Amino acid sequence: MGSKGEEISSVIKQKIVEFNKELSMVDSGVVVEVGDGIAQVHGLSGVGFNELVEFDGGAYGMALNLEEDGVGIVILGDPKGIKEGTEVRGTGRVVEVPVGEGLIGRVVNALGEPIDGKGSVESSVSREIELVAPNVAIRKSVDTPLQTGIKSIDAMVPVGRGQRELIIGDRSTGKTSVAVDAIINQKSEDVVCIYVAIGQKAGKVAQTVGLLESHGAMDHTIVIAANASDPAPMQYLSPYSGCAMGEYFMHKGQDVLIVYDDLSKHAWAYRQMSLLLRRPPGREAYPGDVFYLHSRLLERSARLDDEHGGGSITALPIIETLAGDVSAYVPTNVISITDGQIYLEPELFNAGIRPAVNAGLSVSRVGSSAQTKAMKGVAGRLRLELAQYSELVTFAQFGTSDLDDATRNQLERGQRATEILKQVQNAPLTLEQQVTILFALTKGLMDDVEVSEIQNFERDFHVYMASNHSDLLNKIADSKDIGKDLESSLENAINDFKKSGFRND
Amino acid sequence: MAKKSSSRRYAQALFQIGAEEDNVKILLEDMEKVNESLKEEKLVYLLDSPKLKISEKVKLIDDIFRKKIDESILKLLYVLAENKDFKYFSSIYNSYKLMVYDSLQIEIAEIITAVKLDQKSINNIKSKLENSINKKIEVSTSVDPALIAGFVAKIGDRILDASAKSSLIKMDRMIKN
Repeated sequence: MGSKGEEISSVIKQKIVEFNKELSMVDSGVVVEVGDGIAQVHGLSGVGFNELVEFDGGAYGMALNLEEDGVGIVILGDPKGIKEGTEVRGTGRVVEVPVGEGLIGRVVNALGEPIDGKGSVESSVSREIELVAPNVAIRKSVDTPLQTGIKSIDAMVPVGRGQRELIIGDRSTGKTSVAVDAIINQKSEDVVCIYVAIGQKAGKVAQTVGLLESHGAMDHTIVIAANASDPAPMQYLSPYSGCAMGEYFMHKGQDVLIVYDDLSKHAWAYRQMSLLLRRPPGREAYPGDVFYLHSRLLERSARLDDEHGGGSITALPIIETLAGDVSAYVPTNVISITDGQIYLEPELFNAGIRPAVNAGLSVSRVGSSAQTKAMKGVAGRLRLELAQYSELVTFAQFGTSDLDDATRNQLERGQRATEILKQVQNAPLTLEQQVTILFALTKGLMDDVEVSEIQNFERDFHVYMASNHSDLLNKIADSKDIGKDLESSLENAINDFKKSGFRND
Repeated sequence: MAKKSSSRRYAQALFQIGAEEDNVKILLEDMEKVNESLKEEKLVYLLDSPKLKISEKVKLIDDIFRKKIDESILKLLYVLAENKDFKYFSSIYNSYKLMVYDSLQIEIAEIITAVKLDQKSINNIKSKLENSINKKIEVSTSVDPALIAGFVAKIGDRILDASAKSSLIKMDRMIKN
């Protein structure tokens, strides 16, 4: 113990020696009113917008409303001890967070302070949380896929690196699961993942972190949590903090996947702040700049050109709708900002089709240019087939006996496609696994398999292929394309499997 | 908040009149006199009272202030009586004072020290501060033992903290990091 005490005191001594006192003139003001996490301050005439201010007693705040006679400040953290007459000082800095490799594997709050009890975060670099998005000149269009490992998404609504793909749906339709699966699937890829939990129950965040840990996904993931119990300003800041942490990696040339879970609660937090700051309410009581709130955040996702390192930020914002109402204010805003959406439907979810992706309403506006050739080849017709199937399915409820063969075939194919697109949670598939099973489906090689047996077929098929045809799988993984030769040998392999391995009775 | 801005409007108006008639400083002295007399709260209450007629208020103001102060200020008092804004007088006075000082390139500063300083050291600090902001400074002083050592200078809205207390707080934070 004695040596440890000495160690500590030598560290402190070192710090005291290094301590240099800077004297400078700072702005100051006095609190005239405080309540609901907002302080009205008189003075601070030279303070800047978004500047970090310090209350006497140590709490920090952010200057948001700069008025003629004073400043409206949101208090970050504990407002205890702030009362009328408390002195407030400007810091000359805007709000910033630590960034860097030291954050990976950690759970931090909106200001980048650790909340996982694993000691302080090692980081020497910090970055302003509000930064202007990269301009047009340094961007490149999306051309590399970001594999989520989920068949229905990678095949029908592919996401490219640098894209912003909205995940939208009612409560408990599996929105978070889709996002978490996408994070888990980046384990073998060189993608840094950031999961921003906004206004969620602390228990649910702990559950998600536990899930990521158990799949070894925390080794490439940063979690930023502003829980429901945290003040609204922290919830408001957290996505911007997460984005700033992601930008650090993007500018270093790395690829980043960032999940904002969810932006509806983010808009609520901002609405609360705005109303308390007495900004005029607009539609649904949101302030006038709620569109800009999200557009400036999502615009920061980008794919940089090679001159600037070629890094990217892919964003998966999540929006929770109420009773399927996608035409509410915030959902329409975010739909129009993003490059497409994955629409999860409660009816599908309850019917056991999970992930409950609605093929008709889900789109990806830029992802198809990033899709691999192999996937394009097998999944090209899938969307169309599914759409036709869902149209026919209502019609076929009245009985299929007097339908013509073509229609009946379409129905059969649709049922099989629906079965194939079902996937259990936390079991991402590789590109080659997805391509081979979809190949089997679209080539009609599964038309003679009973619908109820499809899932068993798929499970055994992946095992069979891995043990008997790993060379084929590797070829697909390397070339990311299925040529004529590969196509015929793949067809043979599937037929062999049907004859030998899988018994269809 | 409405109070602050309206008192500044009064002060601005008075300042413009003073500038036109070139007697800004005289007006300031007179304002100070009135401010002193209005420290009597009951008088302010009476002058703002809705029960008293305007004519009676005007007479009252005349009785107290006529011949002692400039005509413009007297008229300002009439207006205040009519608008029942006497309760804002001290902040009008303060805003006006700031405007006058601003036009004369003077800042009002408060120097807080841990122990009472002699005049020489105060002048020393004062001249240093004047050099750093390029303006003249009117200094008031006070003592706060909690600072431990050093001083804090408040100049208008800005603050220069050279106290031992704040250094210790900073050091504490740095070590904890």
